[in-house]
Parts: sequence; C-alpha cells; structure tokens
Amino acid sequence: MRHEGKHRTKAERNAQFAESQDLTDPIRESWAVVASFYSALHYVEEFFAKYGDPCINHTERNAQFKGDIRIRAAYAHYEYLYFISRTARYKCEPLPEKAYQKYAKPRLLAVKQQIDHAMNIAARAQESGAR
Amino acid sequence: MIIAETILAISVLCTVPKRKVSEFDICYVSDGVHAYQLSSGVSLERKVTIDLSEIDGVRDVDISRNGNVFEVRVAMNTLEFEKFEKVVQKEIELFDAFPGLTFNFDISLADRAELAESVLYAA
Repeated sequence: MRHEGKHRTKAERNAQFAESQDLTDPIRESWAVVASFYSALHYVEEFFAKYGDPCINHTERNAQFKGDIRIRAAYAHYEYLYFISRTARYKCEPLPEKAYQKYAKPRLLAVKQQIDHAMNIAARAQESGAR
Repeated sequence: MIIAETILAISVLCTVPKRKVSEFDICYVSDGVHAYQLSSGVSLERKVTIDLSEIDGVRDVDISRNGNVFEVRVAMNTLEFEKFEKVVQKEIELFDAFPGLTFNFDISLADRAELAESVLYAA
C-alpha cells in the first residue's frame, strides 16, 4: 500500500515539532535536530511511495536515493542530517551552538526543495503522458 | 657485431633503475558491470582508504570487506557540511563506478577524547 500523503503529513509534523522546540535547552535542540532527519526521511519516502519503491530500512533507502538521478542532488544533505542526528542521540558531548539553525535546518530545506522539484517534474511528465 | 650490440643494449636496459609506482598515481578501472580491477594491483579497500583519508576533516577510515559488500567507516573531526559532502561525493562515485559492489558508508563524528588525542599527538 502506498502512503505518499501520509508521509508528507509526517514530514511536516516533524518539521513543526523541530521548530517548536526551545532551542536554548541543549536537550530540546538535540531533539529538534533528530526530528529534522525524520522529517527529511518522510519527504524522501513520499517521493519513493509515488515514483519509486517504498523502503524498509536505511540501507535500502540510501541505495535507491543514490541511484535516483531525480533526487540524488539532495543525498549529501540527507546523509548529513542522519550524521548529525546520530551525533545528537549517541554522543555525550553537546552539539555546537545553534546546531539546529546552523547545521540541520538548511539541510532539511535542501532535501524538501529537491523532493518538491522532483515531484513537480514527475507529475508534469505523468500528465503529459496521460494526454 | 650485431650480437654484441644487442647484448650491450639489453644490459644497459636492465641496469636502468626501475621507477617506483606511487600508490597515489593509481586510478580506478571498472568494466561497469560486475568486475573491477585497479591499475596498480593495490586492493580496492586500500585505494578507497587512501582517497578518503586525504579529504580534509576525515580523521580515520576503516574498511572491511565481505564478498561484494564493503563496510566503510569514516570518522570525521568536524561537523562542517562542506567537508562531509566530499566524503559523500566519494560514496556516490563508488556507487556509480562499481554497480556490482555495495559500499555501506557509516560516517560518524570522532569522540572528543579521540580528537583531543590527535591534537596531543600533533603537538
């Protein structure tokens, strides 16, 4: 079953959750960074649900992401979010100052823009093919 | 006379010092399907380790291989996206060059203790 609409909703809710955090609290800022990664993940899953194959794990998703020329430009941004969210969850040292604003948020925006762009192109291609 | 000249030529050629092949001169050669080789005979793991280690911001590289699957662990000493991106570019380059192989990249931030240690060694 394909859930592209549900993935979009979940991506947006994760992004809203990140934005709503008190970023002066290091723990809340860390969770904002983690939510940014999951927001990006659901944008990617939205695309795959509609124009690719839904993935069940990170390895599968990464392989499909790297191989899809329509969205590949966002792969480094997505991987970076995974990298920094793992740092936030597992490392004992705090993230650098303004980690969410400076490091995570711009990468999430880049992933979202690439997915939106690729979705628009794919939708137009489908429309013109249907005519 | 001709024989003597030939022997002389061969002996001169044999005494020419051999050029050392630098590890850094090698390049990837791939048939683009399921096989691969490196032009110098250096293992693919070694070549990838060298390439990744040369990227600014990379502290440590560890690669293990199981058949056609390579587990590539990279420890960064920075959170800078511009440096991280260079590692991902290498990951994509390998993905394209060797479609029959799988490279699972695991990029993490080195522990602060490790980073402090590297500073001590550098001092």
